[in-house]
Amino acid sequence: MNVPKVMDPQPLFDVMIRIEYASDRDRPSLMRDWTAVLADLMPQMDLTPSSDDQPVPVVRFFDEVLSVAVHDSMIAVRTMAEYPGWDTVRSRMSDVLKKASRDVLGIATVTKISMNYLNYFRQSATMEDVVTASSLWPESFRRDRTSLRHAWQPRAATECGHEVIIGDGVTFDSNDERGVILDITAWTEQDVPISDSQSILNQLDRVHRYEKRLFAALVQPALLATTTKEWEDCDDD
Amino acid sequence: MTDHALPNDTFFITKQLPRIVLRDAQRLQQKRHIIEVKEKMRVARGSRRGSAPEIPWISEKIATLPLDRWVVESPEDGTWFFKVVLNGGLRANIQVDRDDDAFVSIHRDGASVGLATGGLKQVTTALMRLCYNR
Repeated sequence: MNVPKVMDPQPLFDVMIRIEYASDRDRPSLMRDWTAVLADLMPQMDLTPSSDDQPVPVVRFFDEVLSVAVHDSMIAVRTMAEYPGWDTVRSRMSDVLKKASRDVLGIATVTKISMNYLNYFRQSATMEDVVTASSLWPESFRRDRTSLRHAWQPRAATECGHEVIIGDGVTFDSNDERGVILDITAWTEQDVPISDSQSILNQLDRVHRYEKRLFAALVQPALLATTTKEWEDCDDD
Repeated sequence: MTDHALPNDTFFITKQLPRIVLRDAQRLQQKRHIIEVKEKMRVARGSRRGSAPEIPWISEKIATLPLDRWVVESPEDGTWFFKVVLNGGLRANIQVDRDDDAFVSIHRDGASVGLATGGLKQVTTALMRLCYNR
């Protein structure tokens, strides 16, 4: 399946990867280990402010490209500003996972990997301008709605599940055309020892490919054709 | 919030949307602000060589402010000077360096409103409080 490799304008604004893990170890020792791993790779750190969603401040390591926030049983990796491309993100994730598996975090099992891609299509008035009238939503359900959510549990063929949220009628200043938000989360639930960094990277690749295929299947072909400057083949697993 | 200070989240929702889309819109707005501040900071560095590791965290903090008009200068490597007009007309001169040593002077209608020193997080928080009159 052909999917976009380079788009202009780039609709992708924010990428967040969550790696959830289970461990018998206590929180302070895990925090100490993550600090040792991440401080070497990302020398800047801060505390993210608390919010309604996040009542406890979270330690975050970051550099120009990525930030890694360490939660109780999860790390959340987020692009800092512009999306640097999957090759860069994957390379940095590889550095983190290899160091984590090699150095300290031996007694932990990755249980879930999820990737959230937040796209914004400006100058698209309605969701019908952006997404295909696919079988995800029956016509009767779409009528007169300004946002839709679709969730799908993992299927045997792909071992990936997804959640798609589409919202239209969003603009950021009074001169902007209205735009459409396309928020795609794909995930897989596999138990992988954190010491097996290559298998975790393979799972990341799998979820990434799934998300790309889903994106290409959802977005209107005409819009894809005009905004995609370079294509790549993205095989099914 | 006072009537002369707009919230930082200045996106407009033209139809009723659920909470999750509002949260996404806030994330997008935050990213757009950060990208804009980073770009102006890079331009302000001019042809200066070498990395500027402070740009990510400074741009994030500055982007939290309800900026109306603003300029940034980098008089020397690692030192940044922001001259900003905030929504509501409050003016501020913010100086911050690579070691997170920050200073802000705040004015309204030509008169000094206050000064703050400390880390950039502290001075931007002080600025936000004044802006929103909290």
